Amino acid sequence: MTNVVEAAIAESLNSPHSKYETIEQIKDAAATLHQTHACTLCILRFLQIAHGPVYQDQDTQLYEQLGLSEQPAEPCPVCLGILSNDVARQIAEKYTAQEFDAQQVTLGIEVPKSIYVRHRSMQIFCSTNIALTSIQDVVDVKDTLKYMVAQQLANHSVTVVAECDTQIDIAFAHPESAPDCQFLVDRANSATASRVAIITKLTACTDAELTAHFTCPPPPITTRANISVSTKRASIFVGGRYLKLERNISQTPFIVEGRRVTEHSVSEIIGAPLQQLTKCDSYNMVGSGREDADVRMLGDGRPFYIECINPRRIRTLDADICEIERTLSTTNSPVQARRLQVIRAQDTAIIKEGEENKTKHYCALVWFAHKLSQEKLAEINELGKHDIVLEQKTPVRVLHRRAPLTRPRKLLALAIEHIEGCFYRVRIESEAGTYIKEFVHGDLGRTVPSLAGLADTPADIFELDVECVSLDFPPAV
Amino acid sequence: MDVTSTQITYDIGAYAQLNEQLRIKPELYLDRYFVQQFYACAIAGKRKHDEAESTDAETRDEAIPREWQYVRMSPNKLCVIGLAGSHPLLDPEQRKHIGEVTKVEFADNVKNSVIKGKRKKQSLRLMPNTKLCTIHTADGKEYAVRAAVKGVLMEWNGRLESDPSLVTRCPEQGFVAIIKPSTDDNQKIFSECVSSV
Repeated sequence: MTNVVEAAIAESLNSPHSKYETIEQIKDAAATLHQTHACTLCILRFLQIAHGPVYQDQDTQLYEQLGLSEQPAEPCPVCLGILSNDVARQIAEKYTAQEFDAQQVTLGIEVPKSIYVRHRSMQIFCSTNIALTSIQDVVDVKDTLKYMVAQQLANHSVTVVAECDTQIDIAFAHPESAPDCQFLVDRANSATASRVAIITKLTACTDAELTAHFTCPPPPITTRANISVSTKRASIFVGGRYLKLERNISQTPFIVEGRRVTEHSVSEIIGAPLQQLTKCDSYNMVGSGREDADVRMLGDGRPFYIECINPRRIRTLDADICEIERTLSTTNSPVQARRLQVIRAQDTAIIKEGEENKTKHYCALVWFAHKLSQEKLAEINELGKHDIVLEQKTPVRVLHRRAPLTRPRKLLALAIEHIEGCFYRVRIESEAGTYIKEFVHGDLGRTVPSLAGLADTPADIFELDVECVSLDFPPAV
Repeated sequence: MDVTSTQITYDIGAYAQLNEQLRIKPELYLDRYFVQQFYACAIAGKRKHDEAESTDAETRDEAIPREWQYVRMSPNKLCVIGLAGSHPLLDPEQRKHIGEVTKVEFADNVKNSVIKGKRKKQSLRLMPNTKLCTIHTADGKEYAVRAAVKGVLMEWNGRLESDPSLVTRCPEQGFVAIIKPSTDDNQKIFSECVSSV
């Protein structure tokens, strides 16, 4: 015997849990198990040999060493072909192909449901065979695969841990053996029965019942299980404040009937470089409120965060993120960022809170049908020094998608200054959620009071800019 | 509050043309928000009876001034319905014979309609000729205002119940109702309307 196999068996014999006392007993057990056409690794599992280099040894040598005749050609009826170095290698390759810069991963494995039935069948086979009666605590098939995959991943400097932000989901399907579970469930199609249901029914099933419906040892198969591998990583969040220096830019892509209404959007201008940087699948922007596409966002910008979904690269991002902020600024991009930085998932809650609680400052270009008298101007400015409570019905322009309500909103400050002719500059500080345009023209009398109403002449708003969103987020870099 | 915002400047000159148009006709500012068409309301029962005296169909049609309503459609397709400038009630000369507006009586099914929530599922269905309300004048005349578009009722203007003369004093704030059409196709929405009077 080679050293590896010798060492493994010796260790097994020395272990307090082993029921075997001599090498001969182990060889007998191996020969009996071999009759079931199980693969090497399943034989090792049932011999209760612990994970170690012996599991990576090539199958042929092991068969010789254990004194067994040639190995079976068909896939193993116990593990359905799951336990193989090829499979482990495939999994490792599919993972590394994605180029995640993770040093740790977690493995999630889903085996075909028929494996549970076949395992039980093997247990019954063992209990009825003298050479195998001492078999208990068989090494678990999922743990074995995890061990094998971990060995492969170690070649790429990746360690497998119990919990981390990157999870490799490995799912096996074996249509050929799907009918195995049928006798356990009442439904005609055992594929729809849940895993938990099958396991419960199996535990409740007696040995006699099982042997009545299923062969012990398990019947042979001709196909290997199919494998699908997908990796999911926790999202990374990048927070900041955005400025919109030009009009006709929506916050997120604005598409109506398949056509883009605005050529650009804030989320794409900041999100696209972030996506390039983190190599994420997709991104999602959440702002602390938003302004219409034709309204600029000036001052220190509006707080937002972008969630990068399934990012491939998350390490050493800080310098590159600063670079994105700098480039947007030096190239005079119509959308710029401030305080751009990686934030924690729990820091994102403040964005939505701020949307509802914080006040906003606006500056608008307003037209009146008639020039306002000095008295009227003074009157409005005097009124504007105190809180003004508005009753705003849902504006006609959004009534198709918002509930018809009347919302009370407060203006904390209002100041109006003549520019020339019928044009005036109006500055407003208002509670979150106030419709400013509707306050100016009155929305057919559905916002009361309105600037038009206060001035007693029709009014309209030609330009609107947000000067300040008073939520302090994120911290200055 | 400091009014002078040093960073924001406005190029008033860019609005010169618009300013000139609005100076002549201030109501035009509504054109920035609505596409406007007109609907000729079918005459209400009572007056139809009175005017049936005239035998010549043609002269009858010419003699009777049409009761024009405006249909102002927002980009989201919602339509605001009210009295157009060419409606008899908005002509001061005609009002001498008709009388001032004393009451706006909304139809029962309009007043009892339920409009709740984002989807507004239970709202009242309307056909273009569905009567929304009846306008009563001091001289006992009645004028009907109809839906003009096929759709569902979004809002009826309760202000007209407490302030009936608003409907002629300020037809834009004195709108009668807001309707969500049952189609997004402009041609179908305006199938009963004309683009100018």
